[in-house]
Amino acid sequence: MRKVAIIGVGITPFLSRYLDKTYFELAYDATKLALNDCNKQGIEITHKDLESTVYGIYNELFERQFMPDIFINSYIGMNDKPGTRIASGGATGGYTVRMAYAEVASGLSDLCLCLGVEKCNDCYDEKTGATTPQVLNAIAYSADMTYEYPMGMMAASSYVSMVNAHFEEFGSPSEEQMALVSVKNHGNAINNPIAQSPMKITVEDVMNSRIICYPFKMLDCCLYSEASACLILASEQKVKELGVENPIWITGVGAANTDCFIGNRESIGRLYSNINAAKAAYKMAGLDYDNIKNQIDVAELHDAFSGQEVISYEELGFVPFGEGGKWIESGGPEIGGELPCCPSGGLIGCGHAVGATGIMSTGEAALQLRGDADKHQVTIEKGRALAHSIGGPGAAYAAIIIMENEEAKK
Amino acid sequence: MLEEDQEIFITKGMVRADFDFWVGLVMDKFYDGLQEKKFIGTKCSKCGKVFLPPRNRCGDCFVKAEEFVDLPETGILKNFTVTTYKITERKIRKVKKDIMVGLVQVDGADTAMLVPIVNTNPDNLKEGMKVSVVWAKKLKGDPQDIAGFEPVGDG
Repeated sequence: MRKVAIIGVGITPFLSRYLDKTYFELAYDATKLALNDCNKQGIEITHKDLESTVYGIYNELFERQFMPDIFINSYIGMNDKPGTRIASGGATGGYTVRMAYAEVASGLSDLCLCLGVEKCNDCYDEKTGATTPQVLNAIAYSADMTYEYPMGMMAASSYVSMVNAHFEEFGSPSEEQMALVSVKNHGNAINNPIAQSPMKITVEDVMNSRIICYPFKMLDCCLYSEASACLILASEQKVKELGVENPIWITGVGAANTDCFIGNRESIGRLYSNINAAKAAYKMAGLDYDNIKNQIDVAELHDAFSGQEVISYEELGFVPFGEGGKWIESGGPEIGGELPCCPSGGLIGCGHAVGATGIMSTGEAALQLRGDADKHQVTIEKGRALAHSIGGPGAAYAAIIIMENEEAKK
Repeated sequence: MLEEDQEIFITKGMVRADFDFWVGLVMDKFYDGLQEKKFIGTKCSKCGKVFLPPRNRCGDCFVKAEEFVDLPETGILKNFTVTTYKITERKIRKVKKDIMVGLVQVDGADTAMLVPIVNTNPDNLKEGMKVSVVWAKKLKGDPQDIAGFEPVGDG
């Protein structure tokens, strides 16, 4: 396989609703931002140089459009070039990066656009004047239609069963430890201009917010957002040709889908998708599952719910099983801690624009390695970062991306 | 294997979500224009291409196309087809009168749009013929305001 680098990043603000834009205009904006990011670094490319697109768009009901990618294709000037769409639940973004990587690594494309977009809040309940019931209605079809959907399975309830079971088995995370994730990620978002939910809050605020699905409270949950995020990926040959000074190489790509029926898993409290995706990504990047905390500088995790971030510390090998809760109490994942997790604010701070989210996380991690994360920049010493995406029924999908900046390592 | 007289379990219902789906700034303006019997297109700020129906980004130039232009009621029939079948009339299958649809490029526009062809019969249709809009009797600011296009003079 050929080496692949991220050479451009474009992320639109994550908002509750763009009243003035269609989803294809949002996608155009992110593409333009990524091209501008290239141009700012002295990389002279335009949309005409892009050879192919991989689109991450989760849900037809959000966009009210089957095959939404083909309409974007026309708007962003990618007509008459190949375009493929990925839809893998909440992990759509991470999987889209994986497939865009594959497109360049395989030699199918030398310059590939990796573009995620979601505009969910046109789903609207006329009777109540609210978007939430219809957005959740649109998500609910992700559950198994033969049994789990008719029984009432929803996103929060599917995560809660895993978090509760994990606590039963390992004693982590407690409700207060989960609340610390919410405090950290809402707080980190204060320094991220694209974030939807920057907030200075306390553990008490989280504990006192209304219960959504025990033990998750309102402030333990991410909000759904509208946004677009975009990466430009280049082959090694293209990196040389364009004279890219600070390429962020993708050195590890791991993905795994575990059993979508939570009750079929060996242990309900473990996300095997996470564990297997992490091990695969680390192996490809030549890193060590048992020592990963000391080999990377920053991790952008998929914190759709606070408890899930704590479980991910353990499953991704940052700390042993059962110690995730204690690790956040000790400040390990804080900016300035042992391994900063979600300095961008993550999903809890930025919002969750499903297809765009994993691409935003990967883009944020790449900006960190480049030293371009402005006010939420963390210290880069090892020159490596991780981006994490999970989703689908019972978080069955997982994709993990490892990136390196060779300059920063020197 | 199913037994001949076996009862099977079926869940009924449909996959749906309710929407307040906005068509976007330029299509909104386009539909407002129809209600006033006007065609409003957009023009690319770089190559000058005129879009009808309008769109606010020119993909080829990768720039905004936000200048609105008023376009006339006449155009050229680029292409057409005739159908005798209507999906909403499944029972009778055949429609009473043949339906003609075509792609019409309104004068001054660089793109063609899908419209019904009316007040003529299929034998009279020719690619390249001149056509003119027929507005609906009641205008509501939606796609049905365009009742169709009809041939002008001898085409």
